Amino acid sequence: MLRLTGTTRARVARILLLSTFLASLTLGSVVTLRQVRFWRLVSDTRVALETGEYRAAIQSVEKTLQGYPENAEVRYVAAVVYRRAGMLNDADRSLREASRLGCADPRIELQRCLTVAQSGRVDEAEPRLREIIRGGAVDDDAHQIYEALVKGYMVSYRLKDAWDCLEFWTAWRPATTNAILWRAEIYQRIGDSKTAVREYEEILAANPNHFESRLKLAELRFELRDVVAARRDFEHCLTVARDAPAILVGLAKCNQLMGDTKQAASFAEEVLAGDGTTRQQADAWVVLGQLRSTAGQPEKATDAFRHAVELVPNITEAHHGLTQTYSAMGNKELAEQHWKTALQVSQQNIRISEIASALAKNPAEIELRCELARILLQQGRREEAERWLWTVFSLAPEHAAAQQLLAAIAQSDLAETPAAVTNVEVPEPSTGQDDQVVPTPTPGSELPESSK
Amino acid sequence: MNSPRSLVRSSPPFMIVGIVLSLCGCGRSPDINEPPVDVTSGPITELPTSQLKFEDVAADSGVRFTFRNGGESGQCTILESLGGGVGALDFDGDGLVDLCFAGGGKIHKEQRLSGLPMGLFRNLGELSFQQVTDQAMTVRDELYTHGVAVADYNQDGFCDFLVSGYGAMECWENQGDGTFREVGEAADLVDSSWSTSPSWADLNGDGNLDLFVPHYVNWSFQNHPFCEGPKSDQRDICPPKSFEGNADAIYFNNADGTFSKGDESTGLQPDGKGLGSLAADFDNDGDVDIYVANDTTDNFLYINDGSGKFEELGILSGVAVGARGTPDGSMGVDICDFNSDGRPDIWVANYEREAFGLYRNEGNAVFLHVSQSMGITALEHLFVGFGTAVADFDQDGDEDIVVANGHVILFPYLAPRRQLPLLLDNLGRRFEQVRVARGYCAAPHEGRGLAAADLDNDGDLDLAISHLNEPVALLRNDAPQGQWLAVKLVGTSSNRDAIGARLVLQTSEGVLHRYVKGGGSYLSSGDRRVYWGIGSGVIIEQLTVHWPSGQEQILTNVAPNHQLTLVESGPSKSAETR
Repeated sequence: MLRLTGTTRARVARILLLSTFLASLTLGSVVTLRQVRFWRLVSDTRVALETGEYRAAIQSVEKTLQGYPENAEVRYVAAVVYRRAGMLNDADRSLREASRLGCADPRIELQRCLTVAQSGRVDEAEPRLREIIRGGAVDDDAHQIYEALVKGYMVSYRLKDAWDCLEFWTAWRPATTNAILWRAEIYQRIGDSKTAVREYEEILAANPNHFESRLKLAELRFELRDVVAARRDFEHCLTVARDAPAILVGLAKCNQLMGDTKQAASFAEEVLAGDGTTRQQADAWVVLGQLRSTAGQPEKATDAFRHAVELVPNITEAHHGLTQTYSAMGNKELAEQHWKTALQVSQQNIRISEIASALAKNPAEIELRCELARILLQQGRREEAERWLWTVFSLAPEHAAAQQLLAAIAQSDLAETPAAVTNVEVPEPSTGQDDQVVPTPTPGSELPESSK
Repeated sequence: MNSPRSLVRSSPPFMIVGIVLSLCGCGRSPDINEPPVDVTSGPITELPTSQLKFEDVAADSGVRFTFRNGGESGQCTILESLGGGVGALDFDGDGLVDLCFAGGGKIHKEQRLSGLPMGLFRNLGELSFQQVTDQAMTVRDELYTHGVAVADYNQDGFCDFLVSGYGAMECWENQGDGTFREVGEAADLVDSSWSTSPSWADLNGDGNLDLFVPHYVNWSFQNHPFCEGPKSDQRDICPPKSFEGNADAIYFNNADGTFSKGDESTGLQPDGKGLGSLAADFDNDGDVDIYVANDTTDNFLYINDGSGKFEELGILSGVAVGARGTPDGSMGVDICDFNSDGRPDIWVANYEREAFGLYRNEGNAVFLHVSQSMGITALEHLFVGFGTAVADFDQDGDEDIVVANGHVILFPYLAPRRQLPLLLDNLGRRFEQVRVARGYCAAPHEGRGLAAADLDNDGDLDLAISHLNEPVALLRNDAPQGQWLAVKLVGTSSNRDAIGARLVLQTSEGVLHRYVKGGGSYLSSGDRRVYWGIGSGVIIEQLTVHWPSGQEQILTNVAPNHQLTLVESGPSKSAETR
């Protein structure tokens, strides 16, 4: 056995001590760096959330999840991100994971409550939210509560309540980007598009790369037929998110109106190759159909329009396109059939706009909400119909007609696509644009005055 | 109601600052390290220099006239939004186109209407005019007037004209001595509806000019709802959707100075909110069809069976609605052959945010809405288009477009009340908006009626434009003079004005088609002579006239830069040059 002298023992001890220290230091550094990285990723997510940049928040949290899949806090943040971005099913899944991994119950409960509010069932959630606040809420919770309430009011067309809520929110934190975004949305819905444009521009003046504002501004400018500016905004969005279907659809439409048919077709085809929503895919088919129709290719145009109708049965432009192409091909019978459908959908859409306008004035008009649900059902928009029926229940829980309609939806759901229904899986609110639900200003309302 | 107001008032903890870096803690300023992107550096569309050029010479020409809409009464009637039209007519037969302007009217506080006299201006040559309303005995102030539809309906060689308006029409018969006589009642042209832009045409093929009258809506002082302006107590003019549409009417010419109103068998639709109309042979079957521009409802295409019975085929023909499949607010219309394929295309001026409609004729009465591919949807600004004309204004061989614009309500939101006129230069593959730095076209107006006419007989088409409560404009065409040809048709077997004729000019560069139409534009009648611009160095090879009677006349060795007067003469060829 090796015998060590006292000097050597002392030296070895020093070396061991130093090594231990260095190892501890290295280990500590690794842990600290990992911790720093973790906090940085989480912080990035939070920053994106605070400024309403949901796309960036989703990217950030999903990156964090890859590194920390079993971290309760990350799962919780993911749930918050998904909920605020409107991806309620993903939010619910993440929340369940966070709970399983030991996230504190009160926070889970808050998120569930916010989801209910955000889905339009504001009255159900409000007492509990009030209680949470009374118990003491940090600023971020307050922001979330305001936001969920505004979204909930918007979904259920209680614009006046949404406006009140926004007023308090902005009085408390005037520069809150999310609040300005929603204010712009309300201006847009009441027909004051010019002010909505100014609101979006205000956000973009502070942060030219604010994706959500830029996209909304682009879409609004397109609606206003300011096509050159809209295309410029869509192109700007493209620098942030190269493959976002909403941008590609916007660019396809802009280029179509600008007469750049090649570009329009190229963007439309890109949408079809991607993973956009059915509505976005249908819009892309309509663009292609119209381009082919103008190019004197009625057969190819018919194919495109048919694809659009298969995806979204109530798309007026596609039925109109089919009327034209069948007529050009001499098939008057089919042409008339699609004309009648186009006419019916068009009239329904007009009625939807009228109801939305009336609801902006009198949100408590239960029968109008029922009628809207009925029209949406006729158009095959079951999820939206269901959403409107829930708003009826929030006002009149025993409403017989609404119950019957909801039962009918449930029956058809069971018959067609059995799916698990949770009390929080509520679809994201419609902005009204896709559905042509654009209310006009209403006399007597305390909403901001529109000049239209 | 549990509003957020009550929620927040009871929530002081909202103001508590959270823990820094808490997962759900309060925010900090966003850390944005990315450089901002220059959003102004998008693609800039440079417009080509255009030859289209107009100069307002109204003040120097002696044409001083203003259409009055009675808006000063403050009653905000939809009546005020329509405006008045312009008629181009050579009423004294001196070869110079004279002008007639509808006067409009007054809206009295006690909810009564009265008319204002029209303005009739005799062309003295070199763009000098003399007001002759009194001398011509056309002073009348009963009818609140809108449109002027010119035609020699009694085939006596002198231009007559019909004035449309609210609750009646006036038919002014040219006496041939510089005066007119109102014969509406005597001619059984009694129309108590709200008439707008009538079209003269031989609709039953008997060689006489019949009358199609589009009607607008059922507004009256008894049906005059309050429509809210930007503020709830602020009244604005109601949109057409507030009213029911009125059925249009046809009056068949009995060839004895009277007319008979067509019955249900004519096939006209029971509704529609007609503002513009156009009579021409759209399906190339030898009879005259009718296109009606309706305001916010589907436009009509009445296909004629040749006997004055019509089938409405707007939807199936593709000309009823815009590309979105929804009806537009259509006002002004014109016929053209913008792509020189020999098929008559249709141009429609619409409301703001609705693309102006360019419908390309694909044959067999099928049209395609091609506004997108032709650059029409890429226009800067939003327009509410009214009077319009499609013609070769710059004499380069293709047809360009002009539109008089202006809003219809008092408190418009997106586009202003006064709007720039629109000039669209045909570049072959697409139309380009012409930007003008000065003069009439650089200033906004509340434009309404527009008539294109060669007022100085220099071979290019000038413009007369009526506005709401603003003096009329007389725009001299100052585009560089190119080669041209003008043809005046005189029908014998056909109606004397040759409405419904198709002219085909074969040149060394291709074939150019023109159509003699009834109606067109908005509340207005343009020069009935047919004009071509012919590129320099281009040789005219042949002119073929397809008369409404079915006769065909061919002329060869036609020299450019002058006007031909061509009298219908059966199978033999005959041309009179002036």
